[in-house]
Amino acid sequence: MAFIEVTDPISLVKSIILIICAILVILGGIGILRYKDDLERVMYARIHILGIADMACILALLVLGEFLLAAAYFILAPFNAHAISNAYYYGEEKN
Amino acid sequence: MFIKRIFYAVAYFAVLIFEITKATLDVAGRSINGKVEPFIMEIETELKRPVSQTILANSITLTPGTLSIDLDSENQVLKVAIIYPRTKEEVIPFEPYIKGMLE
Repeated sequence: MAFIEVTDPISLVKSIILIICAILVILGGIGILRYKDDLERVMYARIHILGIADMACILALLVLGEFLLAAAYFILAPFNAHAISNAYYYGEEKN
Repeated sequence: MFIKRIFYAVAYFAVLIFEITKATLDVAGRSINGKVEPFIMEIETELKRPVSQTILANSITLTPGTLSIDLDSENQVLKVAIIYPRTKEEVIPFEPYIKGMLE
């Protein structure tokens, strides 16, 4: 039964896009763990790299057919990144 | 003109999705090869309405690699964190479309 589904071209394309999403999430995880605290302003670099995971999640939700969830994520994802960076910028010690 | 604004809205979404795709691949590459240099710059916009300034800040944050920290609505200045030093036009390529759509 699984072989019949894989030979269907639409589900083949969907599977390829989901694999691309998984690779993007793995790259984001590597990027977050890679940079240590000695880099200057490393907090922003981590938030930038987490943006990849957001985009992969939106792509995966679109492929899985959850269009409303994808739209809500597309609108709401910048808010928390902005909140974290704003709090970090103004809470940081002035040097 | 109302139809012109709809045209600008469609063009804005096309440019936004293209830029997001490009920036996602760029940042994914940077997380592998380690060419990261976080940097904060101030960008002056031409947009006057708070709605369009908010949409511009949201688009900047939605693009991986750029992140809006603060918005000064009266002086029209955005504070943006960038993963690698770039010029202003590469950070906000969608500003003329927002201007045509909402101003």
